[in-house]
Amino acid sequence: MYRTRLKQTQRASRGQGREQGLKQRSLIKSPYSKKAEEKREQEKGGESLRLPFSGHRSIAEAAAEASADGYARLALQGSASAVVTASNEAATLPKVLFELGKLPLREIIVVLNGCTDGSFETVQRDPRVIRLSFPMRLGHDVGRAIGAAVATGDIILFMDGDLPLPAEELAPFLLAVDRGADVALNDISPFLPPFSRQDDVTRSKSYLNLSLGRPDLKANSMTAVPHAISRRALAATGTSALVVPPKAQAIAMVHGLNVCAPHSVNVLRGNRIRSGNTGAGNPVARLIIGDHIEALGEAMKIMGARLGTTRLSRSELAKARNVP
Amino acid sequence: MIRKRKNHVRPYRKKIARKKIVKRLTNHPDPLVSIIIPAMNEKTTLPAVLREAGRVHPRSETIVVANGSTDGTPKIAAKRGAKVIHSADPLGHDVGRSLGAQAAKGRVLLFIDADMVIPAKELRPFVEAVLTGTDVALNGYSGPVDRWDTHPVVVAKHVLNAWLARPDLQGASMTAVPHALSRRALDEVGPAALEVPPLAQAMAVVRGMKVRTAHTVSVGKLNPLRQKKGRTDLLASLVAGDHLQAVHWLIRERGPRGGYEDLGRLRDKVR
Repeated sequence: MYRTRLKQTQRASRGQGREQGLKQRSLIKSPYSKKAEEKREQEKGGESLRLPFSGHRSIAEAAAEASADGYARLALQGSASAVVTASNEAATLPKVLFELGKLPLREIIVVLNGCTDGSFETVQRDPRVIRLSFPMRLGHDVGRAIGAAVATGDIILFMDGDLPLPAEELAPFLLAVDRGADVALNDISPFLPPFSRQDDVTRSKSYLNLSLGRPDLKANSMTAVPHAISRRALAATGTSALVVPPKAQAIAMVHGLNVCAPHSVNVLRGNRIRSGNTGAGNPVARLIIGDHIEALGEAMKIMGARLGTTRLSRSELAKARNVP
Repeated sequence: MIRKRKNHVRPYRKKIARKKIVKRLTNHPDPLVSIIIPAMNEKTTLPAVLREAGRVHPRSETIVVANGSTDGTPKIAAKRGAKVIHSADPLGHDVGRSLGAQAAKGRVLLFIDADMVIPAKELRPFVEAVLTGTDVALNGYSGPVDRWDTHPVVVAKHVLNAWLARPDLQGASMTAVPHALSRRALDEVGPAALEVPPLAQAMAVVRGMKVRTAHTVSVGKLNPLRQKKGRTDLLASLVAGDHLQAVHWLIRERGPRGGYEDLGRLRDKVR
């Protein structure tokens, strides 16, 4: 039915997305490259600029550097917004914003919540930056939904304030959505251990994709950043569904939207270790498991409890299988 | 000195036609263990399966649920002393088990398949576990997991156990044989639930039954390869659906998040 048709188109676009992602990467110069480093040093008069990122340079500077570095070639058909959620991320947030500044984004929406470490002050005033600040913690992923509600772009890129990634690692997600994908996920499969050593969260992610007829997506999930969605996907899921990322993903898949994983960024390594997110059965793991149950429940509301898995009754199946 | 013994071959010896002694099962009048075996056209393996069943426990009864058989399976079962439930229509393993459970009189219900000969020695631990207080004694076999492209059914089994807060069960499932139930577990989940084994398992766990893996029998090697229709294994689709049905039940029982917390999300802040 629609699933098979969908798969074909998705497969096609997935392959394309990957190719383009690779192509794009070769176009864009790495900010880590020696040349870029030297140039920066020249501009700054040989000041101590050994780190690839600097928290004290403005977002406008990033854009200027980007055009000098060749980012201007990243021409998107549609407009793009980025949503960055942060809760006490003063140390990393400027780096995240600096890298985002290099991308052709219409706006960068920073959703700060429950910050007590001066994160708000670290976000520079810039015409492209929209600061939303909440005194209380909003909880996991709520900031993303609030940011998405404010965003005006055709493409919305989601990022976390604690995860500085170079702009070149983010561009493929924007591109994939610009070229027709509705949800462009981070392909984390190259970084996963074999099934026997995967945690329950990873297995839950795989199970959701399997149950919704997308085994090719493996454990890729909207729970992980970076990912980008199209305005069409946002309209289909509604902003409130983004509070529970797997739920938004399930709705997108059930509606037959083009979900793909065009690029791999290793976020498992760089994730900040907090008291709540380590060890089996930790509160965050339990939260994400709950999210996946909620996601399947949402899909079941539309497709029925068995999600259209069986086409034969048990009796017919027994007959079909029992060939002496 | 080496003594060489001549081979005495009698060229025209008539074969002695011994009458094959069919060792009949004895069904105890007041059984402690009921062994339930759904069978559909299994005349080749059934005698051996029944032989092993007869060796499991001295106070046992063996119930063969012969369904949709055209090869005389019910006759063979009856001849060997098993109690036979007959159905002309094919039922599938799960419905067969449910029917057998309804007819069972024992305190322990052991479920095995007719197409797989498992030695009695490998079956006794399941009975033993239930006799010593376990309600659901599962096979510890989890399927092949040391790989990346794990079979969807294996993933489903692991995930369901994890979602039921029993990751220690890994991929153990009532979908697989052998497994044994206590009379208490049967009464708690009801024989109808056995038609959807993962649902029965979810119910047993949620309702506080003692569910554990009793012994590991690598049934993967014993399972006969079935004809695959198209490229998708039909059974895989059925079992995947069964697991979803268990998740659906969990949602109805424990709420949309299956009883998992929201970790202080302020959902009302999003419009």
